[in-house]
Amino acid sequence: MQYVELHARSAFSFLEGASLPEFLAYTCAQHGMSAMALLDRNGVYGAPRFHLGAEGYGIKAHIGAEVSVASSGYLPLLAESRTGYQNLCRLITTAKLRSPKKVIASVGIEELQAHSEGLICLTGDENGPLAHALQSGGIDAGRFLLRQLLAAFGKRNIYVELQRHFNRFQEARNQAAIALAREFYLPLLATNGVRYATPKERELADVFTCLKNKCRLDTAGRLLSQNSQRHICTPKSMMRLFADLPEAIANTVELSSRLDFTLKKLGYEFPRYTVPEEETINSYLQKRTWDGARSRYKSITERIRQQLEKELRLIEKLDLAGYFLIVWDLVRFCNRNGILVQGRGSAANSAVCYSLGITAVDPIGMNLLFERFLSEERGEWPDIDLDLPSGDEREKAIQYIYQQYGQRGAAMTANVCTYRGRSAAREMGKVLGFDEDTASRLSAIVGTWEWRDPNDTMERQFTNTGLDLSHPQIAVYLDLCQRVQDLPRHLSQHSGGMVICQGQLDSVVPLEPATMPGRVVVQWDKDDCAALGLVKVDLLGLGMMAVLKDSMGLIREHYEEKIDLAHLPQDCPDVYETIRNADTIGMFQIESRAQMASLPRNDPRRFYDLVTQVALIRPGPIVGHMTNPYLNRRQGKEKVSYPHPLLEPVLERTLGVPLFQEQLLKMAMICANFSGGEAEELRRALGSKRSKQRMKEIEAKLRAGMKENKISDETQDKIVQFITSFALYGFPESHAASFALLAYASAFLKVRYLAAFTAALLNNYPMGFYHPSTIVKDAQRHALRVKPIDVTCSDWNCTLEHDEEKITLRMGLRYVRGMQQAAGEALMQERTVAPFFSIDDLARRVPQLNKANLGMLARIGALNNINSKLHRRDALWQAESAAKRVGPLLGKIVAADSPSPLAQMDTEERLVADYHGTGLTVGPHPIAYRRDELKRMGIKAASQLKGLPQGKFAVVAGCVITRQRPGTAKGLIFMTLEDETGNANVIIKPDFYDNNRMTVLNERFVKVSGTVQNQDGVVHLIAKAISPLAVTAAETSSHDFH
Amino acid sequence: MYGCLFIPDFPVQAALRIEPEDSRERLLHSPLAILDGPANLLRAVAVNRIARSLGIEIGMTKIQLEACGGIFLRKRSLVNEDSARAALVDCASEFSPRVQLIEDAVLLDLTGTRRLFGDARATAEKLSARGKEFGFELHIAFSSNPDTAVYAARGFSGITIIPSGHEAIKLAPLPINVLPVTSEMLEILDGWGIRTLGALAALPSVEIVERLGPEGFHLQTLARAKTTKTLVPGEPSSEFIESFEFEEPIETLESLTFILNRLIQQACSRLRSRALATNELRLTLDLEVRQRRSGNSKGKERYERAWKLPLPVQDGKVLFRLAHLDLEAMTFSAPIKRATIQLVPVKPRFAQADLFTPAAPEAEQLEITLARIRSVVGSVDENGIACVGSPKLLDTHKPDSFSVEPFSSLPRKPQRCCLCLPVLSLHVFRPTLVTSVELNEEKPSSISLGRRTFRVVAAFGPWRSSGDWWNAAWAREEWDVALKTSEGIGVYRIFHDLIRKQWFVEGVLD
Repeated sequence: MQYVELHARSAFSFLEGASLPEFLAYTCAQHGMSAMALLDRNGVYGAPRFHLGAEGYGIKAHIGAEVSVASSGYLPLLAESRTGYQNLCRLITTAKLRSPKKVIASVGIEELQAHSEGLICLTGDENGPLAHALQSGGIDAGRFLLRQLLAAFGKRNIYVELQRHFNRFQEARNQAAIALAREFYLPLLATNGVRYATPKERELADVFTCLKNKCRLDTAGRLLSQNSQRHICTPKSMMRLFADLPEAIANTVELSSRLDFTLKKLGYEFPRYTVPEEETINSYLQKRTWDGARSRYKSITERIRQQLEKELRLIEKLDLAGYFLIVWDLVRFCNRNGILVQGRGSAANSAVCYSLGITAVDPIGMNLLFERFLSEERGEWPDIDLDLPSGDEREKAIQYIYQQYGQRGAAMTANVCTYRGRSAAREMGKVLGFDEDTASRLSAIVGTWEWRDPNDTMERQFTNTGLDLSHPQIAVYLDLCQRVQDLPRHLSQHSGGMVICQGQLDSVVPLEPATMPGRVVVQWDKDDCAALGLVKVDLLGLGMMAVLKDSMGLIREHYEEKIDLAHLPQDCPDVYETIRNADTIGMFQIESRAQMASLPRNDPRRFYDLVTQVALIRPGPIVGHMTNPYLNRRQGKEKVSYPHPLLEPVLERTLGVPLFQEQLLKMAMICANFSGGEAEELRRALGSKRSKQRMKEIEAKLRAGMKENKISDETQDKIVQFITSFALYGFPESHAASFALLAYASAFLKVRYLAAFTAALLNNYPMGFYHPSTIVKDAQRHALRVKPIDVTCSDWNCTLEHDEEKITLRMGLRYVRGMQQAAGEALMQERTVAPFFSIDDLARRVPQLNKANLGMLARIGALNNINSKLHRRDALWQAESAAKRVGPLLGKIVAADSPSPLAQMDTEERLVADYHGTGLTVGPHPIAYRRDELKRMGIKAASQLKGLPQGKFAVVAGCVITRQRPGTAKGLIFMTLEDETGNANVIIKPDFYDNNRMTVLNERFVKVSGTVQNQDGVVHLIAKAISPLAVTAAETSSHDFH
Repeated sequence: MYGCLFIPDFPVQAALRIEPEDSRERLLHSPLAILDGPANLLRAVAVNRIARSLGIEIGMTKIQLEACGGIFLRKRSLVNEDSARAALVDCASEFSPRVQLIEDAVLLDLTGTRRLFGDARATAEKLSARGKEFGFELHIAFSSNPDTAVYAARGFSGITIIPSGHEAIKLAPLPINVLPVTSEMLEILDGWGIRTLGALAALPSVEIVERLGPEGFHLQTLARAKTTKTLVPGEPSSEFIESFEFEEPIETLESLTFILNRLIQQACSRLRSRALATNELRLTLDLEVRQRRSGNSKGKERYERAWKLPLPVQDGKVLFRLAHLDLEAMTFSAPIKRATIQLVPVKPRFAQADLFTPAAPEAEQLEITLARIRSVVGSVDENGIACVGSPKLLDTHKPDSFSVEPFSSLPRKPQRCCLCLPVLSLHVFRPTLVTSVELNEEKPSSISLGRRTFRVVAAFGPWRSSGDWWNAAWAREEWDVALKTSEGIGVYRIFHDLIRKQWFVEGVLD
C-alpha cells in the first residue's frame, strides 16, 4: 500500500506555512511518494513553483487551496479537473475582490455550491469546518455541516479528513469524525496537515505564528504548535500511524488517481484581436506589417521580404497574430496620445515588431537572431517589453489595457517580496522579544553593499557589532535570521508586467485587489507567469524616456528646432568624441563609473560600438572575464582569436569575445548542435532559478554535442565557461541595441542641447546615477549658466531663459525643500496676475505658502529679487514677519520690504543654506573656496590627475558624490570625489576599507592620497591614506549604491 | 542676590558621584562617556571635557567609543541622577531656605545671608567647596537677577559674580542655546545669524515681537537681563519617602526596627493628614558593602523589599508588623547604612463589604498571616516560583506549568472551558517519580518503581509535546498506562523526558 500527502501548505500561505513549495516537492520525492497536493491559504500562490518542482522530481503535483468559509474555518478543496480549478480560482477571486485589505476573504456556502463542479472537498484539520462545528455545537453541528457539504459537493466528492499529531484532543475529534463518516457512509482520508517539510522547520512555523499574531515567542503560549509533527511523513510512518484505519491510507492513493488536473492543463488563451469582417486576423496582421515595412525600410529588399515572410509564417503557425495586433494597438494608442514608447528586450529581434513600430531597432540591419524572440519548439509565448516615460503617461497606457479587457480580463503580475537580511533581522528580533528600537537597529547593521565579502557573513556582521554569538538567545537569533532568508513575506505589485487573457483571467489564476484603486494583481510573479505560458506585456516606466520627451518639448520651444528621435543624425563625430572622453554624466546607461572607465578604451565611433558598450559593463561579461579581452582587442593590444573556427561568424562582430545572449545561443547551436528552441531552453535553465542538477545536465548535453563536432576538451571547457558564466546577466543584443539608441539620443541631446537636456534631467529626478548637484556642476563646467531659484521667475520645473542670445537654465521651485507642488503652482498663477510687490504681498496672495516655505525661500535667496534688492537675511527678516498672518482689520495693509538689522550671510552660510534648502548650489563648488589652501597643501585638482603618469603619488580632495561596491569587483569600493574642475576616481581596496571604515562611509569631504593608475587615459587613484577634510558644514550628499 | 548652582555634564557627574573614591580620582582625569540605550546598542549620552577634547561626541556607539581606546565607559542610571538632583537641593538648602530646582541647576535666594556666609565670593566658594563634598564640580553664578544667575551658571565655568547693572554685558558672549529656546526658534535665529545673547539683545524689540511673538520677546528680555523672575520654592513632594542614614552602620535588627517603626508612623501620619492611604510599602536598606570590598564587588549593595497589600490601609501598625515579620527571617551580609521607606499613596477604601461574598478573614489580618507563613516557608522556591499565594496555570503546552500569584480580594471569573470533552482527574505526584520503563514494539510493557516492577496491561499514546526551543527546550512523550498492582488495575500517566532521557510517573488517573 502507498500513501499520498493531500493536504500541505507552503510558505506561500504567508505566515501559515514554513517551507518553499519546491522543497516540499523535493522532500516528498525523497520519501518516495508518487504525488502530493498543495493547498495554500486562500490562493494558489505557490502552485507554479510546486508544479515545476514536482515536475523536476517526477512526482505529480495536485493543486488546491484552503478556502475561508464565513465563520466556519478553512475548507480544503482539491481541483479534480480543469473546471474544478477554474471554479476554485473564481471562488477565491470573488472573495478577494470584495474584501477590504487586511480582512480575510471568505466565501458563503451558496457560493461554494455554485462553484463546486470539479472540486473535491476535505473536512479539514483543526482549523477546518468540521472541527469548528464539533467544537461549537458538538456532534449535531457536525451532522448539519456534513449535510450542507453533501448538498454542495455531492457524496462522491467529500472525504472525512483525519490527522494524527500525537495529541489527545485531536484524537477525540478524530473519533467523532469517524463516527460521522460511518453514519453518512463517507470515505476517510488520512493526511498530515503538512505545514513544513521537516521537523526542524517547526521553529520557523512558530516564528511565523508570532508574526501573524503580533506577539513574542515567550508570550505566544498555546498559539504555538504543541509539537513538531506537521512535517512530511514517510508513507511507512503514516501507515503505522493509521494501522487501525487502513482505508484512510488507501483512499489517499485512490483520490490522487482521481485528481486529473495539473497546471499543465491550465487552459490559458490570449485574447483575440477584433478585425474587420472581410479580414482574417492573420491577413490583417500581414497587411499592417507590410504597410509598416514599406515606411520603415523605404525599399524592401529580398532579404527583408524573406525575413518578414518567415516571421509571419511562424506567427500564423503559432496562432500569435492576435498578440502582435494587441501590442500594436497599444503602441498606436501611445502614439495617438503623444506618449513616447519603445519596445525593448527580445522583441527587438523581430522584423515584424520593427515594421509594426513596436521597436526601434532594425533587426535585419543588425543581423539579430529571431529565435531568441520566438521559436516553434519552445511552445511558449513571446515576451514584449515596452518602455514608457515613467509617471502619468505609463499609467494612461495601463488604464487603456484595463478599459479594453475589463477588470477580470487583465491584471498586473505580482512581485513576491521575501525575507532579506534587514527585514529578517528586524522581524526575528521582534519575535525574540527585542524591543522595536533594538530590532530596527540590529537590522540596520546587517550589511547592504551589493558585494559580499565571502567572510562578510551575517555571523561576522553580528560579531562585529559586539553581539555575543555564544549567548544562546543571540545564537537562536542568528540561526532564525539565516533560515528565514528567501522565504516569501508578502505579495506586492510588479512595476509593469501585465497579463491579459481571452475570456476571464480569473479562471486561470485568482485575482486580488492592488493597493492602487482600480488595479488587480494575479497571485503569481512574472517568472511563474512565464513558466506557465501566460503571455505578458511589460509596461516599464523609464525615466530617460520622460527626459527625452521633455527635452524635445524644450528644444521646440527655446531652440525652435524640431527633433524626431527616430531620425536623429547618426554618427555625429562631436557626440562620439564626448562619449569617448567619458564625459557622460546624465547620459543613459553610459554614465556609471564602470562605463566611464571603459569608454576611452572601447573608443566608440559608430552606433554598433555603443551597443557593445552597453552590453559590456554587465555582471555577465565581467564575471566571465570577457570585458578586458574585448577592450584589449579593440585597442589592438591583443590578437583577435576564436575559441573554435566554427564560431568565427558568430563572434566576428565582437572580436571573438561573446558579449550578447544571442551569441551564446548561436554558439550552442553551432558547436553542440542545439536547435533554436533548445538554445533558448538553455538560457532559461541558466536563468534566475538555476539548480545545480539542471546545470550539470546542460553541461553534459553541451559537451556531448561538442564531442560530436570533434571539438577538443580544452575548447569545450572554454565554451562551457563562456556560456554558464554570463547567460544570466548578459544582455540580449536586441535589448542592448534598444538601450544604445536611447544612450545615443541622450548623448546627442546633451552635446547639442545641454540646457534643455539638463533641465529635463533635473525635472525628472530621481533617476540615473548622480545627484542633481553633480548634474548641475557638470553642466556648469560645460559652460551652461545655471541660475538660482527666484520666486519672480522660477516655475515649478526647471526652465530655460534667454540671456543675451544665450540660453540659460533657471532652477525650479521643485528643488525647494518642503515645498508642495500646489503651493508652487499657486505662486506661478498669482505671478501672472501681477508681480509681487513685497514679501508680505507674496505671503498674503499665496496663502498656500506656509511659514516654513517662506523661510526656506528666503534662506536660499529666492526672495532677493522681489522688489528692491535685498540680501538673504533681509528677506528672512521680512519673511518671518510676513508669515505671521494678521487679523482681518489689518489684512489689507501690505507692508513694503525694508532692510533688516541683520548682517549679510557669508559664503559659508550661503553654502549651508543652499545645500540645506535645495540640495545643491548654483554658485562655486565648495572646494573652490578652499583651492588656494589646498594648493599649499600640495593637493591636486581632479582635472590635473589626467596628466599624471602611472604609479605617480598624488593627493586629491573633494566632495564624495558616489560610493559603490559592485558585486563583481572583489570587494573594491569605488568612490568618486568632485571638485570645481571635475571628478576624481578613487579605488579603495578591501583591507584599506576595513581600517578606514568610518571615514570611507561617513565623511562628506575627504583628502585621499595614493598612487595613480593611468590606463589608456582612464585615471584612478588607489587610496593609500584617507582623512576627513573640513571644507563646509553644508549637507552635500553622496549617491551610495548598496 | 541670587545664586545658581549648575552641574555641567550632569549624567557624567551623577555617575562620578557614586564612584568609589579611588576610581573617582582616576576618572576625573580621564576621558569618560556615559552610555544609555538598549543593551546591545549603547550610545554616549554625555561625555566629560577630556573626552570632548579628544573628539568624542554624544551619540557615538559603544563600538565607536571602544575603537577610540583608553576611554572609560559607565552606564547611565536615572536613579542616580534623581538622587544627584536631590543632593544638589540638599547642598543648596544648607545655604538658603528658598531653593528652586530648575532641571540640572538649583536657584537659591541668598538675601540676608551675608552675615552667615560672608560676601558673594566667599559664599560662592563655600558653596563650591560644599558641592565638592557632595561630589560635584559646580558652575556657580551670582547675580541680582535670578534668570541671569541661571544662564550665567549654564554658560560660564567656575564662579561668576555679576555686579548689578552689568548683567547684559556679561551675558552677551554666551551662545543662544543656554536660553530655554525651542529647536524651531533656534533655527530661525541661526538663519538670521544671531548666535549670541548679545546679538539677540541688540535687535529692535518691536520687530522681534512682530516676528517671533511673545516667546521671542521673552528670550530677548532674558538676553538683556531685564526679566524679573520670582523664585518659586519647590512644591511639597507627592512622594511619601522617609529616609534615615545611620551615622554608624548598624548590625542589629532591634536598632533597625526602632527606626523603621518611626519612619512608617511618620509617613502614615502624613498620609492621613492628606486623607490618603497606601497599598504598597517599599523598603530600601543601603548596605555598607562597597567600602569593605573596595569597589570591585558585585555583591548586593542594597536590600529592597516591597509589600503589596490587596487593600489600601492607613494603619502604620499593620505595615510595621508586615515588615518586621519579614525582616526577622533575613540576615544581611553587611551593616545597614541607610534605610529608606516609601509609601505609595492611593485613595482610601470606602467600599462596604458585600453581603453575598463568602466570609473571609480581614484583609489586613490575612496579609499578616501570609507574612507569617512566608517567614516559615520562604518567599520563593528554587525555581523562582512564589511559595505563598494562589496558583495560576500558565498559557503553555508544557504540562503542569504554573505560577503563584498573590491572593486577590476580588473574586475571579471562572474561565469557560472551550472543550466539551469528558476530562479525567489526574492526581499529580509532586515531585514526579523517577522510573524506568521497558518497551516492547515502541510501547511500554512494564515499569519499575523502586524494587517493584509492574506489568503494563494496556498503554495509550504516545502524546507528544515540545516547546521553548529558543530558550530552555523541553520535549516529552506521554503514555497513559494501565498497571496491574496489588490493589487491582490502576491507570497512570507516565512520560519520557526526551531532553533528559529519563522516564517519570506523573500521576494517577481517577
